Amino acid sequence: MSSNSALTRFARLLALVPFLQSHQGIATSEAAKAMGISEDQLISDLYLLWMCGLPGYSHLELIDLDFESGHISIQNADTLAKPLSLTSDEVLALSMGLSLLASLPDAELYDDLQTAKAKIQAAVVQKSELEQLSRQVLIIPRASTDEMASHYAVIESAITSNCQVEIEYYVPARDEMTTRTIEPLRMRLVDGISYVDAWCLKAEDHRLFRLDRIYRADGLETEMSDRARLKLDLNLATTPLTEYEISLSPSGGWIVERYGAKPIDATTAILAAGDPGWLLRLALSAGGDLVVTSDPRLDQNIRAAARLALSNYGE
Amino acid sequence: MSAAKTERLLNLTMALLATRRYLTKAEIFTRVAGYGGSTEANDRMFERDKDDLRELGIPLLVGTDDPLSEQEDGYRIDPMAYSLPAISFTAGEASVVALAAQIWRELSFSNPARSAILKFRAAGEALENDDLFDARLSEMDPAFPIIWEAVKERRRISFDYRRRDGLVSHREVEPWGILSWHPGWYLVGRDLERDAVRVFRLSRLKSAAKTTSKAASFEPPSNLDLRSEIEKSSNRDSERAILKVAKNSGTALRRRSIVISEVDENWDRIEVDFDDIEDFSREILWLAQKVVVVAPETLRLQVISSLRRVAK
Repeated sequence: MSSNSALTRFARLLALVPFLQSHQGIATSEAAKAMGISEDQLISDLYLLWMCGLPGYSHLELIDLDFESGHISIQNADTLAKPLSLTSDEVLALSMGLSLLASLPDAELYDDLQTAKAKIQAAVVQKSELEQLSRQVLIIPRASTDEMASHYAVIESAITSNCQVEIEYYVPARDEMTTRTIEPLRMRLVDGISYVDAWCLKAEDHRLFRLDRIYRADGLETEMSDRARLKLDLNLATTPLTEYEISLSPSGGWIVERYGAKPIDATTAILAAGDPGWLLRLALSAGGDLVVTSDPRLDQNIRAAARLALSNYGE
Repeated sequence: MSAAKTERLLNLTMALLATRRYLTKAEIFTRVAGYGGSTEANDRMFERDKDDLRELGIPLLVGTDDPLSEQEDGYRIDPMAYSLPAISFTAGEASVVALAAQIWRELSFSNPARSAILKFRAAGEALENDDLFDARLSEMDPAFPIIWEAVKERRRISFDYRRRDGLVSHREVEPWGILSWHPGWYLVGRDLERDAVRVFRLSRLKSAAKTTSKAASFEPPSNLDLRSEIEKSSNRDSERAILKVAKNSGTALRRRSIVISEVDENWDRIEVDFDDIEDFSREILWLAQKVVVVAPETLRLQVISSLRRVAK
């Protein structure tokens, strides 16, 4: 066991004692969940606490615990009645997290973010280090348009009232507008971009819709079906992806950055695409920085598309 | 071994919190459970224990109750400075705080985010995300933790950096600050060789950042303003483009356009402003033969030469 894990455990115990004092009689399973540990680990923490107390270490000074019944009560631990104050890193972790959430175009949420941040900062005991550090880190939220905010509000209220929404949605892979009915489940923010996590009646599957590509949103009276909720804990990718081998020129690094291509060596990478049409457009927009090497037919199509576009310019 | 250490740290903390007067080392060694070896062994253990308490942010006071006496320094913990002040979140605040902590998942700041949540729960706050929102960062630059440490400790760092045009060069930098600006993380600092403030995108570091100085080697300017530095570094002067767009195509482009007029039954003419010629030409190329650049000439040439490279 490293000394570091002893320290982590020590920090947890400093939180566990006041937690148990403010939750007298809590079930061991519930306490373990709140502390983010297994029940076995919690029991072993309780046995350790039992050995601790104030100098003298008789039953008058030792922490007194009872958890035989599966419910925990604690006495004689008033010295540790309060949790330890927040460190600068803890305050920054939360306030940066709150700032990241500000990219969601949600006015009510934004107010909660601001007041929560103020309360956390007010709870800092040693302010000078934090003030210094706060100037050295900045999260600039992604700006949203009024239109995004109003579509967001429509979808948000549909989630609460359990109703369907009709949207007009732009699909860049096909440069196409689609109209579809969705059953929105929740809002999802990924790397600053807002999405709606929804069941799509047209695709008959879960889909993530980017809020800035929703061009119209109308709340419907129709109630949501149950099927939407069945797979709520889905992961991000819902369409099956095909992996293509691509070669990249030295100035094609942005493709790795923006589309998560996995580099194999300095000039080749693997790129996952759900739709060959999408990859064709990406290759065009890369202007020669990206060549598809694993699919000669797709490569032919890409070149043909470029020649067709050039014909617009008299070539 | 590890459990014994945890136990000793807890006993030490309780003893130092409970005492109203400073406890000397000798008193600590005889009274606090967990010490008991030779004075030398106790001393070594106590030095490490003090470091551990400070690492967690426990405000350990060193001094004496009677400054006039020749008495050796003792230790105690100020309960006021130790304790998290009362805090009370509304239901809405509690759920955004839980969500804000969750955003880090296994990335940088996940540990302090988690321990902060434990402290709030310990203070009686119920922090549960209500499941109506989910927020995540798909990944963070691997360079982030080292650079953040260097920013905090004010150590100079060096790394290989690839500019936007592909050129790679070695840089040594005083890291002043770190910021997130869609879609990436950036480092702002003084480039030592160029003796000027520079902004670096973390994903363009071509080598792991190495620290090259001791802690507290420089002082960032007291009027540091990260936002204005990144705004200065990005060229945001916009230009007007004139494009021909095929009917029923380029919806996203049309929605941003300022003027739309009809050319014939197949084409419309639109005018739209753009900031960055690279990004904008990519957006036009994305739409293949459905968009034609009329003006400006720089954009037109950029699109044509890109298409030629692809067609080759």
